[in-house]
Amino acid sequence: MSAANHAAATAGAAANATAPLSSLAPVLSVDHLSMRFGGLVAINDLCFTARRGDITALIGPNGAGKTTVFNCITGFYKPSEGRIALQFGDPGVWEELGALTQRGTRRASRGDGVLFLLERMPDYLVTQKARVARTFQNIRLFQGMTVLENLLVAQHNPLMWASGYTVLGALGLPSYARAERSAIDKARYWLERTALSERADDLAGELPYGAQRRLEIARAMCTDPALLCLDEPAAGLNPSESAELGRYSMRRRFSSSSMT
Amino acid sequence: MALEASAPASRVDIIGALRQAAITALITFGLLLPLIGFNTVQNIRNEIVLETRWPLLAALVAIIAAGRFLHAILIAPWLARRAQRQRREDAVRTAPRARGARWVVPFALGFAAVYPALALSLAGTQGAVKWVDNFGVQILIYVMLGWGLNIVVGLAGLLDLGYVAFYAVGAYSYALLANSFGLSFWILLPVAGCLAAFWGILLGFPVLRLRGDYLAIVTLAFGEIIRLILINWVPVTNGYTGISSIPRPTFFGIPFNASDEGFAARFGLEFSPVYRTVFLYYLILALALVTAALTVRLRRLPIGRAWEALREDEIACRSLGINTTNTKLTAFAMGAMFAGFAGSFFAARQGFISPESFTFMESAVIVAIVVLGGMGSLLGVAIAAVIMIGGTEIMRELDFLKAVFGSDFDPTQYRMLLFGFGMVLIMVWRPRGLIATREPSTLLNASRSSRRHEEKAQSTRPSLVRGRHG
Amino acid sequence: MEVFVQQLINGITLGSIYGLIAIGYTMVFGIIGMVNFAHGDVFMVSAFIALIALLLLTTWLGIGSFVIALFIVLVVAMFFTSLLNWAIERVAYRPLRGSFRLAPLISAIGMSIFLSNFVQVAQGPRVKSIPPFFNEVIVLTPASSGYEVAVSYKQIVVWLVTAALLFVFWFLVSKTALGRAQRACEQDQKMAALLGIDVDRTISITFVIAAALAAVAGTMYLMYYGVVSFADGFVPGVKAFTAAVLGGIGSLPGAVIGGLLIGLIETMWSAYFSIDYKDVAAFSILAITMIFLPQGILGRPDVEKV
Repeated sequence: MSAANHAAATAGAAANATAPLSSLAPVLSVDHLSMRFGGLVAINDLCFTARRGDITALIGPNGAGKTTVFNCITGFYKPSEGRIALQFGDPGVWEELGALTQRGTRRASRGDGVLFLLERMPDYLVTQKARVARTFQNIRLFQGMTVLENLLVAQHNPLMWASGYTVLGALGLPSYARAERSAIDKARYWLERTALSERADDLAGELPYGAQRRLEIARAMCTDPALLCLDEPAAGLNPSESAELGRYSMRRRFSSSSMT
Repeated sequence: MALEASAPASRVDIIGALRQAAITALITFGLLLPLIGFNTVQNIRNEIVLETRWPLLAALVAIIAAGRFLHAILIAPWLARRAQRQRREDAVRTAPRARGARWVVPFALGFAAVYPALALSLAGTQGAVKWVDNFGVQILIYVMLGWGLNIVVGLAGLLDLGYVAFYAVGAYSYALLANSFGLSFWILLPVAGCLAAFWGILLGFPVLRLRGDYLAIVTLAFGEIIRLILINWVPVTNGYTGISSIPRPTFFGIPFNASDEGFAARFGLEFSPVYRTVFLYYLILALALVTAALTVRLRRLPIGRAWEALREDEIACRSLGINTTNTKLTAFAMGAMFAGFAGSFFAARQGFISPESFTFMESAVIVAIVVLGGMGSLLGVAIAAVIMIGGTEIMRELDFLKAVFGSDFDPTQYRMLLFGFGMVLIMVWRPRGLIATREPSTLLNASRSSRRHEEKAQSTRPSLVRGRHG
Repeated sequence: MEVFVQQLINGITLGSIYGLIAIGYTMVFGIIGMVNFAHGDVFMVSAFIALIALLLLTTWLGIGSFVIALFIVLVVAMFFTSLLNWAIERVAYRPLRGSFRLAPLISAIGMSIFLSNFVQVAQGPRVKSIPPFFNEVIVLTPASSGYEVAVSYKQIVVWLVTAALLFVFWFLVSKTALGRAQRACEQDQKMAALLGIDVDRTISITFVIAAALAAVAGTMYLMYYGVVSFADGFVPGVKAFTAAVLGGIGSLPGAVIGGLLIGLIETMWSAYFSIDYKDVAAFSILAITMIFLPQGILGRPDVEKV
């Protein structure tokens, strides 16, 4: 993890694609991605794939456009050109990619496999439907809310469904109470894995910096992501903290993740 | 040690304080010279002439300079000491305050419940009308509006400066529908709420992606547009003249009048207007409590948490798959609905409405109540409403000041002046409002956590380390 | 056609006044990112100061020359209004810098309420009108054509004074060290402070300049319309803010262009559609601009920082 960061300082490449040889199908495929802000070219014709179960690192010096790539993947920016495809379930659905691109819609499915074209989706749907979760370079927690509340907000969509879009929940039906308990259980699971259980009822803004980073990852994991994008996860951490973070990431075996 | 440090400092400070007072006096003189020093008046021939008011100018400058002097030698050192002490107790502070609040709420509710009886027994049936109406009903209308707007501003963090528009929609809906179709208050109350919510969605939809202060100005523009339409669309709204003889609410079908069918006759009481006032009081109290109960409920549901998350960080919300537009719209519609309820109550209580009641100033007053009370805090909003509205109502009662300042002194003139001044003052003093603490919507382990809070409250030191890291 | 030309003349005059106020909004927004809600009321106060100065000069000191009187009134109004805005920033906004984002706006709303009510209490609620003076007009079309198109001397004075002061302040902001400091603070206050710029002082000066221009607008308003009341701050304030947004908030030329546009739209709307709904038109433009063109005509597009 920290090795990747040191490499970042010397790599000098605008963006770096990772190894092709794999028996596993990719979860994410980025093709000919370009992003221009007025005259400024932030990303120029970037292609890479990320495979399931792997940690794919995007490295480069300051201003190389790593965060911009993430913002394109997660729907915060609409890329000027290019295709970002994400898949989960049956990998056979990748064969639909050409047809989907032609069709101009955002989603294709085959069996239990689903394929999304992320550049066609608004940011919240990228997370809600295509199950991409992210963290931010400058940590963005809900500072005034407790650690536990942060993790419950991350489970907003299933909880909204369980509360019957607020109507049933407001009536106090037991089905919602059950859903909330299981949401809290999931939050507790991730709190334990990130060693934050003790601080669950403290305000997120009061946590030390390293704990805030871990909380942000736990919050992203609570959305059940198929792809987790960690933007500069080790920024601002001291060496021992980033080593610890590296151990967490390894131990947790993300279904798939990528980092800068 | 603190004493030693402050003692020599305060001796030196006298000269510094005098200098500060002199500077303040000079600036105040400059500020007040044109508008206080001179007065523009019309003479008999209706020409405009100048008069001077040097004594008033001198007095005001002297008062402000003296205030600055006292602030420098007394209040500032005291504040500094308090800040120092508070920093030490910072981590401990939340728990005891929460414990105090536990008693405030039942007490306030109890007081609100018996207030009309209290007024009746202290002021008699004649005198009580004024106390229940001017203070009780008037304050409760603003409490309800404040709680309604609290959903929009306090929870979702959307500054809405046109809130009074939905209040107007509610009031005009009730007035027009009751006058033309003769429907009763109880049918029209939900109708007015729904219409206001509908307008909330209609107006909210295009503007909710704007950021903070832009949203504030656009909502202000919408509020003004609706008011100007009410003024100019004379065939429907009767323009400036307004709508009068709006049906008053009945006690589940029994009117409050002096007839044999009236409330007093049915219940074998002597007729008095106070019964209607008391009924209205309990009606608005109930409406306000419904608002509060729903807010408390919603805060514990995903939608409420999403609102608060939205206030904290909208981008993070979107990264968690939350549809921020819909979330904002529900907050906007919910707030508008309560304004609609309050509006139809207002029309029914007054029996007369005109665009005069729905100016931007009303919106500003409601926003002020929410922000000054502490965004998101129901108790804080209620306290702010009592202080700001009760305070300005009391200004009407201060007739004795005429004896001090002369007979042409009218305290009500100063209501909005002091209101604006109070807004600035409270913002500077407590930018986060009177009650800035927030109750978590849920706790991981309620019993363990409360025990931990108790421990923190008892020992002063151990939590010194934690706190302001990030 | 004649009506159109006449409305064009009136619209440009009104627009110059809006433009001057709009610059105040734009400058303050540019440097501390807040909507200075009280600015419209500062403008109203400046009109009152100008009124008092004018009465002092004409009735007490008996100055007959219009040009000298106007010059002195301008200077006096600019001085006292600047002092006022300096004090407002110092008392109501500076302590809230770096506080949560809505706090300064709320404080400004409070200040706006305070100022209008202060003037109401101190000077009375009645509309103040000055005796008509300097009413000569230049008729542009021959009287035989039926509709007379005329430019009054007052309008010419408004144009000239506005243009001259705009030039002076444009020079101040774009060519001097003060202007550089201001633009540096707009970009990054912390960095500017590290480079030795006195941020507090720069912000204070911004408020002073904003107030001085509002005072010019106030004096012109008083001279042009001849009436002023305590309630005259709010609506012109909102319209000038609309102008600032329309032109692109943060941009000085944008504020002037926006002001002229708003002035023209308002007079044209009154002439051709309905005078009752002229404020509705202004507020609608505000809403429409913010929804569809939030960066304005000359503003930079706002790229969301993630």
